Amino acid sequence: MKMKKIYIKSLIAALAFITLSCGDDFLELTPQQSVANEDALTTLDDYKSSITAIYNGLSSANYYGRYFYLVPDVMSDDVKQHPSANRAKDYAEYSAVVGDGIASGMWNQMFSSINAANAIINAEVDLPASVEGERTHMVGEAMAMRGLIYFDMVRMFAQHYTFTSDASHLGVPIVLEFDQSNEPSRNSVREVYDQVIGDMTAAINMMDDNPRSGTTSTLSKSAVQALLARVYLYKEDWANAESMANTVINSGRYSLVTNANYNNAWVADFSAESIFEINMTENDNRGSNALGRMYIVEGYGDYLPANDLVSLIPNDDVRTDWFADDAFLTGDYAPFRMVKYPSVAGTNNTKVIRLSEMFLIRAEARAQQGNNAAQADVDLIRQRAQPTAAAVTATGAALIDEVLLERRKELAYEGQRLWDLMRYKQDVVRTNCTSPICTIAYPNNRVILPIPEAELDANPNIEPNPGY
Amino acid sequence: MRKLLLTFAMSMLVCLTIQAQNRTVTGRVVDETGQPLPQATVLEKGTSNGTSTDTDGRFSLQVSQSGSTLIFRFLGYTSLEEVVGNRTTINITMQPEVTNAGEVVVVGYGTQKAEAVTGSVGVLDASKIEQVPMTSFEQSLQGNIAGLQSTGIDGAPGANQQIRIRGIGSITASSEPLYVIDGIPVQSGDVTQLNSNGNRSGNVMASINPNDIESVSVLKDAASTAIYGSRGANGVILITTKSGKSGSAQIDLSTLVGFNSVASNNLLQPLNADQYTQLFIEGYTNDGVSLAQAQQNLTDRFSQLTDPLTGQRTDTNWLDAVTRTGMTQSYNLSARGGTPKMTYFFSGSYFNQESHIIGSDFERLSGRVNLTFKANDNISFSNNLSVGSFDQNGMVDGSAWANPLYNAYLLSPLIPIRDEQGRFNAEHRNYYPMGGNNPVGALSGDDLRLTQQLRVTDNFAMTIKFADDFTFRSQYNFDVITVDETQYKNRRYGDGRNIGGFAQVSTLLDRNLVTTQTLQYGKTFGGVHNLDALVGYEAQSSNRNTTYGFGQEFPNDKLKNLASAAASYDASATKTEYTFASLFGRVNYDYDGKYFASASLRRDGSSRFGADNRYGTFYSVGAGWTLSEESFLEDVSFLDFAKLRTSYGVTGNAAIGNFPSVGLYGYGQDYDGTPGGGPTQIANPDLTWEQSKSFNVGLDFEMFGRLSGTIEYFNRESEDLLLNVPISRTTGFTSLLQNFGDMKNEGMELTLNYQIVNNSDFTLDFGFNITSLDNTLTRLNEPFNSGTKRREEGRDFQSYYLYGWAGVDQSNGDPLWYTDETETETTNNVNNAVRYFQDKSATPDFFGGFNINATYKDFTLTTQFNYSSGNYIYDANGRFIHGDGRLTPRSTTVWAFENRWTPGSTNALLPLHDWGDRKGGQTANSTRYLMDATYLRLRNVTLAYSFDESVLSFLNVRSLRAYVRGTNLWTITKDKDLFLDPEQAINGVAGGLTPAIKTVSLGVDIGF
Repeated sequence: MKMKKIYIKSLIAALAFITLSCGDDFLELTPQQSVANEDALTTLDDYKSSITAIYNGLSSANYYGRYFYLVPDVMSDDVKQHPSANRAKDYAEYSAVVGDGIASGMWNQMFSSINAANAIINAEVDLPASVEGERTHMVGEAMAMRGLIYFDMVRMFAQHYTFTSDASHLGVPIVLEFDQSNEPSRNSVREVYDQVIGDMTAAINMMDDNPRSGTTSTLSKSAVQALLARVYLYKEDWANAESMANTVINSGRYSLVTNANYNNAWVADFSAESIFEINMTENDNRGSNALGRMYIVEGYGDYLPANDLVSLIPNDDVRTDWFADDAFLTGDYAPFRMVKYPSVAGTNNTKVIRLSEMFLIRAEARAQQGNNAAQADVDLIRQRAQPTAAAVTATGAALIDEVLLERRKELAYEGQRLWDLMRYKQDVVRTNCTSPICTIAYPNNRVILPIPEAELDANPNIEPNPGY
Repeated sequence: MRKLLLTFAMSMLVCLTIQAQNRTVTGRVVDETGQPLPQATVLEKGTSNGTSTDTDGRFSLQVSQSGSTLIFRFLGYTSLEEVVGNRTTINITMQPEVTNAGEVVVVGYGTQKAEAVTGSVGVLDASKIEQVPMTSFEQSLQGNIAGLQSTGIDGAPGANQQIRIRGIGSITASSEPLYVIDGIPVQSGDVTQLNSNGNRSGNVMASINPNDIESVSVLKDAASTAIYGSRGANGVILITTKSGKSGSAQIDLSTLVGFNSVASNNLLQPLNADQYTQLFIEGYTNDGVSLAQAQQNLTDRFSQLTDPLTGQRTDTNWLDAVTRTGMTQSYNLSARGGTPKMTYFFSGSYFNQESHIIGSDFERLSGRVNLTFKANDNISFSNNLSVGSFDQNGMVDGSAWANPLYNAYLLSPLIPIRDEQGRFNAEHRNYYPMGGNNPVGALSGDDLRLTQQLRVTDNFAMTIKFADDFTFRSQYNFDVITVDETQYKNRRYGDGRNIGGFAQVSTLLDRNLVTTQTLQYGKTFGGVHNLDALVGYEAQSSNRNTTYGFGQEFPNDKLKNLASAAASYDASATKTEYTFASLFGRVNYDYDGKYFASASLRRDGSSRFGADNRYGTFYSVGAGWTLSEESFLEDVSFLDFAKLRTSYGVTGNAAIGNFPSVGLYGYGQDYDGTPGGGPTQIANPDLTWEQSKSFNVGLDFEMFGRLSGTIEYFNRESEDLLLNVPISRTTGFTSLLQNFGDMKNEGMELTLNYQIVNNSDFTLDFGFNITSLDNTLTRLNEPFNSGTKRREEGRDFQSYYLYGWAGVDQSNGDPLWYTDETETETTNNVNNAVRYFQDKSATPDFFGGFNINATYKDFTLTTQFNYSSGNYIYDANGRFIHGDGRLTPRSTTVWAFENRWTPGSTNALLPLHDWGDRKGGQTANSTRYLMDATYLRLRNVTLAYSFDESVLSFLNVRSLRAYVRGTNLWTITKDKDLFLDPEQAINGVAGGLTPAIKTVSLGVDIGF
């Protein structure tokens, strides 16, 4: 009897112990690598980390880390493919399909970053007045990046601004707040440009002159002005393009690097003329997926510089250093590798926008408005690279051609050549051609990426790009 | 007071019965060691008159007449019948049952008499697991249990084994069963961090010594799994380790030595130098290049046409150079025995297996101590402690360029293995675009890919018996796993060539704590009403920490540890956890061993479930009826036993990730040296476990004294399946996880055992099992593509959805596809073709195994065959290895060489070879790469000789047995040209992993 009592007592004690130890708290766990939405954006530090994630999105291999420059370049006449080319080969050959992984990777990355930017822009958080200035700057950064991403997206996934006379052709969907059941249709290209200009203009009014990071790895007010100058240029709003470029040039914040330092500036970070660049640090870079490694022999070496471009650059032009001999290349593939981004580790920063482009934007805008001051801007960039070059004397249409030639050389392998051709409604003609397709006549459905198949499947309201 | 009442009642009972009875028999029931057996049933045959023994094994029973017979029964012991005669005292010694017949089976939280089971339980005993030359016991389940589909995805030693019990039950969440070792729900599968091949190469179960396992019970239906609630839906595998038995020590030493090669005879062969040269030139001329230029290209490209090692023309067979005959060694020493108070089982083992790929091996050391101690008549303790440690050297696999089995075909035979200095050649990195890999060098030890695991599992239990019929059991378990991975890539060639070599390490610590309290009540009323009830509480907390490090720029290739990296580039650590708190109960009732009923219930709460759905209740009911006990079957003389049983129940699948329901910001989205975080998961507070509603009906039978078997029908309806429902990407997300889909698995299982011959010198047995399985997606919001498959309502989950390959245009060597599913028109442009359903699936129509066992005097022959029929496999690497020259100038296989189109071909299987091919013949998701994997494999054949008494007594040993064993010795495939091993992942996708191993081994077992 006594024994039995002890058993029952210990039984009750054991049951009580385990029941008490395992209340509801036992089942309430919080993740340790992630933070629940409601706790994620409550402090100034949260703003910082949230903004940082958008920059990280820009640095993705699907975006400024690789494909955003590589894809339009391999579609252009500046690049020819190596026989072992594998990545983005379908774009080089204009044979991509609607299910293409690069298109969906880029689309997903861009909208993921837009969602992150929207979360910051739409956040309603009480912060101490003392940090209000910092917050305003960061919300400005978020708006600027939303503008930048939409500008990049509308260039990649839609025809250029002047494709129709009123830019009423299909753009991309504008999404400004999170709704998991949203199935938006496409806005027109005009509406997207309006959104981009609105976001960037608002950002300029909110942001500080100095980048938050102290280097051009993050956006400053004048960096957004520089991006906006490019937007106006693509929109062919010449007056605004000129005035925005002027503002940046006259800000005194940037200066052109010298001829002697020119090539080093491609390897070094944050040169004097850098306005905004994606920082690829030793710890944080795209590694084997880096843009440069698509070209260099130590990397994938998928693409080679087309002689079409190489032959345009005189021997005493410092930019010839971008081309290195490779004895293993024969026939049409010979003789060069492109080494503008030579880092084997993938640590070359991706230059998003530089001061030299500001001069070229101003030159183009001026030339388009019949202003021959464009000549001096072209000379500045051309003679910086090739001091022996003769001064430009052309006027009118010939002056515009001079500007475009200098753009082609100065901005080579920075993803702009294809769109310069499109803006001027020109065919892509590859003379030193290793692709099965050597002429791409304007206009062409295939110079833009397909709206990804997965988006078409999930969103009944979105229209596909014709030709895919 | 209560005791008084009880005594009063008892005496009333005695008074009442005394009138009818006229003799009292008393006695004592003990086990084979003389220990009393309490609660043994004593029954007067042909009546309902019975009693049970007391704690000292004593009984007293009134019997009606002197001619009566008493039946003695005790769980786990052979029943005995004694004619009373004119005795008044009958003392009984009961012998433990030989469990081969599966008389007692291990079920969730206990054991049950086989005849009382109402659910569906498959049992594998130790004889099928011991000294099998494989790394993990799951590999022995294959073909031995009806309804269980098991496949070795990766033949590398120590790799994971995929198991599906009665089909695939989930779309997004896991379909793997729950593993329970000695009562502890444990971690299973692959937890490695650095393998990037979809959880295939690692297996935490590989640290368990298969020789320590007494039995494996596979719980298949709801009646048996509902007691595991939200984790029972995919079935449960219960592993019971060996325990001691009181009596003198039995010492067993088992040794095995074997030789390993590749199991399939028909695998692809690489090109030789002549074939490659011919193809190289042809690839250019087909591209419009002149013959002279093509030859120039060859000399321009290949600068090492003389092999420095031999001085002869370079002609490398990379496949030969990375393969070998490996060795398997297995040694196991164990002791089991005990005293009436204490029993023990000790074991220690060493296992080492080298794969047929050089450098790929597995080495394990393990030890176990299982003890039980009876403190007094009521209280006993037990502790099972096991430690297992292994080192696994693997290779890079999948579609990585560094995969040796990939390199073996894609590297040109015109590249020498070694350079002028005798080092592994690295020159070709400059001219041959395969990442500069040298697989022979990588596997020689220049690179490192090591996984080391240590696993310690302990369960401590206290059992208290009280108030005669109650048993309280309190169990505390922990299972700790550490996995340490080290990888190194050398500085000269391969992936480390441009960055001075690199190393990465990962460590994982997984701790799993479980406490279980159960209270059991078992009593027989009136001799015929047997009641067994159980209630319990269980709490489980599991957490996992990982760390990761990466560094590059090594001073030399002798130092492979991260410490020597000059540039330490990356480090990371993670922590995650989950908890379960559960109440459960079960009632089993039977009437006179004739009618059975059971019910079980479990209420689970888990941290994994959404806040709005934190607790779930799961249940089952079952019934059984022993037909052969009925009088109307008494005259059916051939029928020895027949039992009909059925069950229904609802179980859950909680393998849905640790925090799937919470809206999350994920971090590590860093930039510019600054931490970053953004939205990574959409909130869904309704998210919860998946449900499975299972119905089962089965018939067990024994007839003619030699034929036994089971036939079963099952219908398993999985509901609320988690589905990543694609949403518009404009949200910033690609999909939203929802409880959405439904799926059904319906099938039949048949198991037969037939004793063909049974006399003293010669016996011959035949065993057979077959499972047919029909899988249907019954609810899906909209169809979606998943790799080679398309999930569509009304179809098999594993239905292939591919472009229809129509062969080659024999006039010009163009690839052809059917334009659509009518297969009437063809096109040479894949953009004009569509994907469609081929009515082919990765799910077999039927699968199973059979065995033929014979003994003749002291010889024993056992065989085990496995088969699978009607399933198709997809060669994912086919489009690279057989790519028609798209990737210049990668080599290919003899099969492709011999079957390619050349001018004049009339029956070419493959298009013409064209460097940089633009015809797209190698487009993925095409039936070009789909193959019938129907096969029959001789999984095991063993011929053993047991030495007789004269030798044993001369050597002074208890037993001595020697055998020769073949594992995966012979394989036949329906598709005679199948050049892959037919055993591939459950989803049918063959992804460049190690093909299955064939082992021929010799073994000697000695008992002392």
